[in-house]
Amino acid sequence: MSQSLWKNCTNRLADDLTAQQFNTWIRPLKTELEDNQLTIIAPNRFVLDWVSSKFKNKISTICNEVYETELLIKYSTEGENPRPEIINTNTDNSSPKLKDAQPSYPAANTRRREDSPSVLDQNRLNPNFTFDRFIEGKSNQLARAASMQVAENPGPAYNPLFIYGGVGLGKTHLMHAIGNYVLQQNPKAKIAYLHSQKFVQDMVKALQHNMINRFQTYYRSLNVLLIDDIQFFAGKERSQEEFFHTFNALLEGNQQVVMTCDRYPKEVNGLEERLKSRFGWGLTVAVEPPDLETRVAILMNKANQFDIAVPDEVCFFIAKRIRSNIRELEGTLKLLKANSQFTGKPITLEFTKASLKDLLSVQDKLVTIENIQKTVCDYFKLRVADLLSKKRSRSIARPRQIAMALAKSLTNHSLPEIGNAFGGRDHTTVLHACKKIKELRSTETKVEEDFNNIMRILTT
Amino acid sequence: MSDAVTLQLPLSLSLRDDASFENFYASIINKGVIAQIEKSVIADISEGSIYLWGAESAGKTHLLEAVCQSAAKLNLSAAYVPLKYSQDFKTSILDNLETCHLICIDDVDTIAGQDVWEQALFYLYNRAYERGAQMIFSATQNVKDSNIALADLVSRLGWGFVFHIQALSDDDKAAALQLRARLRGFDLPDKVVNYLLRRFPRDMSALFGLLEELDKASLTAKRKLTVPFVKQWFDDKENFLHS
Repeated sequence: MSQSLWKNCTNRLADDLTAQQFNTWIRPLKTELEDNQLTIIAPNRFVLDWVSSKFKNKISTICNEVYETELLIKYSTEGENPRPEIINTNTDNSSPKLKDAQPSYPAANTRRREDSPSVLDQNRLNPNFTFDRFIEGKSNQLARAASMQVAENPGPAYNPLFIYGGVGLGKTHLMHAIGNYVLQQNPKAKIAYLHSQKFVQDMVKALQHNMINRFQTYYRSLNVLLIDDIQFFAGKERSQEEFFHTFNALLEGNQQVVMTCDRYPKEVNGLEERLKSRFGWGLTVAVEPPDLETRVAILMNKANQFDIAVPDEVCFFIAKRIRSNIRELEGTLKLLKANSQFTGKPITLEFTKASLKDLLSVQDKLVTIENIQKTVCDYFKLRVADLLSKKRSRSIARPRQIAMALAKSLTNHSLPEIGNAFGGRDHTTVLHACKKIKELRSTETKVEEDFNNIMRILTT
Repeated sequence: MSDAVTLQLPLSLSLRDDASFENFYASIINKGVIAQIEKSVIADISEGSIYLWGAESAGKTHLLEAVCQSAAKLNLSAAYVPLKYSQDFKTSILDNLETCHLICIDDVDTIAGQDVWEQALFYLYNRAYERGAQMIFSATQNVKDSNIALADLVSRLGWGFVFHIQALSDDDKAAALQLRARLRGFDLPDKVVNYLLRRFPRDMSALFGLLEELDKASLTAKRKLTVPFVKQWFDDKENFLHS
C-alpha cells in the first residue's frame, strides 16, 4: 500500500517539477506506511529540509486525497529512530516541529539495509582482499612481508604498522588481508577496518548525542584496528585527540594498530607532532608503484578474476602504458572487457589499441619531454634553464640525467630527439644518462626514491 | 531551518521529463555503452562504478535520469545530484546517499578544485563502495583531464568503467530527432529535419527544445510539420520578438 500511495503521490508531484528537481529531491525519498501513518524518509537532513519546506502541504493534500482516510505524515532522515516529527495537516503552514533525533551511532540503525548491520556488529572487512590475491613484486614485497608478520602475530610484532604510498597501490588491500587472516586464525577476534573519515564521523555523532563513552569503549576494546588514509585526520584536532587516546589504549593493551597514509608520517601537514612521533614507533613501510613485471602479473591475475582471455602481448602493452596505479590497470581491463562484450570481438592487440584510444591519448598528452623537465625541476627546486644549460655540477647533472632517463622511459621520442630537447645534447649523452641512472637506482636508495617519486607525479 | 529553504532551483530547459532509454537515440558507436548503462541498475555492483564522459549535449544527463527511472520501475531507490548547481547545495546533500541502491552524480567535474566537494565525494564513494551501492558519474572530461585535484578521488573514478559518449553526427542527430518525434506521436519528414539542421543551432538540447516548440505550434495550428510551416513559424516568432 505504501508503494502505491507514494507512487500516486510522486506522479502528481512530477507534474509540478522539472525532471532534474524531481530526481534530486523526490526520487531518493523512501516511505513506510503503518497504522494510518506515512513516514517519508529522506537520505539526509539537506534533502529533508528542502522537501518539507517546499512540498509539505502538497504532499499532505495528495496523500490524503489518494488514501481517503486521515493520514498522519511524518518526515525523517535515514537512520533516525525515532524520527524528527512534523505533524501534518492540510492547513498547517507553521514551521516544522522537529523533535531531537536520537543518535544513529552506535544504536542499531533501523533504516539501513538488512544486510548492513550497525557499525558495532561488523568489521567492514572485504573478504576478497586476501594475501593470496595480492600480487607481490619488488615495489611492495616489504610491505607484504610486514603485513603477513603482523597478521600471524598481531600485537607484539610490529605495532603500529604504518604503510604509506601513493593512491591505488594496494595499501587498503594489505590492511584487509591482515584483518581477514587474523579473523581466519581467530574467529572471535574483534577487528575493525575503517577509513579515517568514518572514525571522525562516528566521533562527531557520539559527541552530538552524548555517547562518547560508548564510542571510546568500542574502539578501545578492539584486538585489531585497521585505519585507512590517516592523512584525512589533518586539521581535525578533536579527532586527532580522540584517536591519540584510542591508539595509546590499544598499544598499551598490546592490541594491533595498522594505519595507511599517502605519505611518510612526518610529512603529513596538520597532524600533531605527538601523533607523528607515535606513528613511527612500530614499523613504517612504503608501497611503491609496481614495476613492469608486477603490472603484467597484476593484469594477468585480474583478467583471470574477470574471466576474460587477455593475450600476454596485450598485458605488456597496457602495463607499459599505464604505470601509475593498480586501480587504473583494473579500470582499463574492465573497459576492454566491456568493449569486447559490446562488439563480440576477442581482445587482441589491435582491438586493445582501438579501445583504449582515448585513454592512451591522455597518457601520451600528459607525458611530454617539457612536462618531464618541468616536473624534475619542481622536484629538485631547479630552473628549467639550468637543466638545459651546459652546467655540469652534480646538483644539476643528476636531475638532468634522471629527466633524460624518464623521457626515454615515458615517451616515444628517439634518443637524438631527447638529446636535442635537453639543450642540443648528443644521443650518446642520453644513453649514458640512462645507463647511469639505471645503475644508481640499484645502488643508491635516494636516487631510486627520487626517480619513483617523479615517475609517480608524472603518471598519476 | 537550514539554508536549503532559500534555494533558487534551476529550471529545466529541455524535454527531459520523460528521459528514458527508449527515447534515447543510441548511435552505433554509443550502442554498447548505452547497453552497459542500461543494465547497470541490475548489474553486479562489484563490477565497479561507471564514469561517463562526453561533450555538452551528448546526452549524459538524459542517461542518468533514464537509469534513475529504470531503478524506480524496479522499486529501487535512486539519488541524483546535479553538481553543476553545487553552489546552491551544501555537501551534506551527499550524506547517507549510500543508503540508495543507485547514486547518480551529474557533472562531477564542475566541482574540480573545490577541496570540500572533492573530499565529500571521495567519502561518499568509499561509503557507497562499502555498502554496495551502484554509482554513476558524468563529466565533460575524461577522468585524467577532469582537473580533480584529490588523487584518491581520481583513482576511484577511474577504477570502474570509464565510457566515452561520442557526440552524434548530423545523420545521427536527424535520426534522434525523428525518434523523439515518433515517440511524441508525429512524423518529422526528412526535409524538415534537414532544414532544422541547416538553419538552427545543432546541439541536441537546443534541437529537442525546438522540436517541442514546433510540436506545440503544429498542434495549435492544426497543421502538419512541413518546411513552409517551420519557415512561417520561425518568421512569426522573429517578428514577434522584434515587434
